[in-house]
Amino acid sequence: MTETGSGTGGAAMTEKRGNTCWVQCPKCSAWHHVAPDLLRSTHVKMHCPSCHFEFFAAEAQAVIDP
Amino acid sequence: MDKSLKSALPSLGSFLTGFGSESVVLRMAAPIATVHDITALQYALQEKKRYPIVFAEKPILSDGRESAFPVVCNLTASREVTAAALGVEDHRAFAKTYASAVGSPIAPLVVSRDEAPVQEVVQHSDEVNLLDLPALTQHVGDPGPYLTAAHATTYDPDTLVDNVAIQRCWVKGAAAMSYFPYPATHNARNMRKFWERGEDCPIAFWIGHHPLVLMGTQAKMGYPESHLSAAGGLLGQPLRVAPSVTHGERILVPADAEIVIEGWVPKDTFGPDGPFGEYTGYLGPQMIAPTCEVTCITRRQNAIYHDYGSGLDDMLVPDNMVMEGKLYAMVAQVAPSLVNVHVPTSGRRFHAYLQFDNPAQGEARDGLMAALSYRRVKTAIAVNTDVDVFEETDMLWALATRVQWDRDSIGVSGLSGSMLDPSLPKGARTTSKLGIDATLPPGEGAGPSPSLPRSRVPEDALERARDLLKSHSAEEWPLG
Ligand SMILES: [Zn+2]
Repeated sequence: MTETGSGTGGAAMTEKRGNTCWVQCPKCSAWHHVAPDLLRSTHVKMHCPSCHFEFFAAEAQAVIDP
Repeated sequence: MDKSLKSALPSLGSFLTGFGSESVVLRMAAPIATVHDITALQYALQEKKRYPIVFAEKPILSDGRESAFPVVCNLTASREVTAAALGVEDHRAFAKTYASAVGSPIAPLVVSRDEAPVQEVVQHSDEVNLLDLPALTQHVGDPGPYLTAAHATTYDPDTLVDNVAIQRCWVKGAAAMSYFPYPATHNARNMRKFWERGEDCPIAFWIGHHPLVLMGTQAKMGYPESHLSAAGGLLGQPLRVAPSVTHGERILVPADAEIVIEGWVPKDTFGPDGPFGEYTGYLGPQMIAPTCEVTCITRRQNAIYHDYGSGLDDMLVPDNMVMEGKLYAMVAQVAPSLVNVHVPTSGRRFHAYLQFDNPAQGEARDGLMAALSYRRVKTAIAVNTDVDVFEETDMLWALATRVQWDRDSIGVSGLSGSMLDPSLPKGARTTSKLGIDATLPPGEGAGPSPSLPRSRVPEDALERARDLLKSHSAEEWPLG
């Protein structure tokens, strides 16, 4: 079914890559995962499910954006 | 209205009374926490493959108060109980019955507000407190309590036709919650139409009703098309509806529901929503969602709060059974030898098993293509009637012994699919799907089928063997 990796498109088609963005809360250091449009939003803050602090991506302790 | 007649009307209460026996309803008299513990009880039951309706009499809220309302969950976790609600004795026959019932809609009956038990208690603005409801925090990582069985009702401002869908709400305060309609849904379309006119979107959420009403309003409809008539078709009588307090006749709510939450979705106002445990069995990411301002809560005097365990059989079973009904109608149109459809909870909502009676050359593949056009179905497998579509070991046996992959698998890319599929590459807007023809070659005229016969023992020998085993107690068995 799947084309095996010959040609330029092969690797892109068959290599698995992560698809989930994570942020680390600047207040309590807990990680939670967010949709890409929320991560990039400049008008809706992310909400830490652990301590309920709200913050933008620029304030996060760390961001994973595969 | 005559009180005895009122109590006989289809409702959550009347359904529970009809299933009052201990074997079907597990009554929890002891206090139990709404944060995690009620959902954990559902997981513990599912581990044991037990699916009673759970009735928690004393839910304890996150602030330590005992809720004034009991919680019912696992209402539709059992295929048998869910089929019985429709009067179908064997759950395997549900798809055909459902397809025919929703195909004969019955228009709702509008009654006055004083005939609506759901408006026995009416709380306006300052009296509204969503935090009094025993909304559950289900999974680790959920940011707070969610309404999971809230049937969001909006209408199309152009045609005034209503739309109903179960859409989750994160309760954030006494009168504030997030409201998450997926962008492709009819409610999201209605909301955008109001916003484009510069108006806030009127909305009402109703909670708790007879399972037939819950499943009828989940029927897949065109746009704009009312779900209330489909519920009537399933009930076999008109669904009683009453004008909502806030929106009057513009939004009619089921008169015999338990609780109604009324309000507005303010134009272009968004907040975070989630993470939330989804039907896929994964915690979905936090997203940008509209918000809802609650103006009024109405309820029965002794309201019961209904919760669906998200991603548990509680939510998957009724939804998948409704999918079976819809798929049956879609596939039978192109493949008349279709006998049955099963959407197994093991595949969440992504797998469909189709059973055919000696399909003609090409017919199973036609049926597979029809099934794959259903947005959520990602894999469809066709088998013959000698394979039990409700037994997954039987399905795997058919895959192992009746399929040549290059000949029998049909891969299709770029179709619309569920955006909640955790395997989708980042940013993808379409999905790839697979149809597998695990049927036998068609028979040709009289004589044996042109395939290997299945190994079997004579039926009477099997009966004798079963009788023989009855006289042996399990303790005597060497392997327990
Ligand atoms: Zn935090």
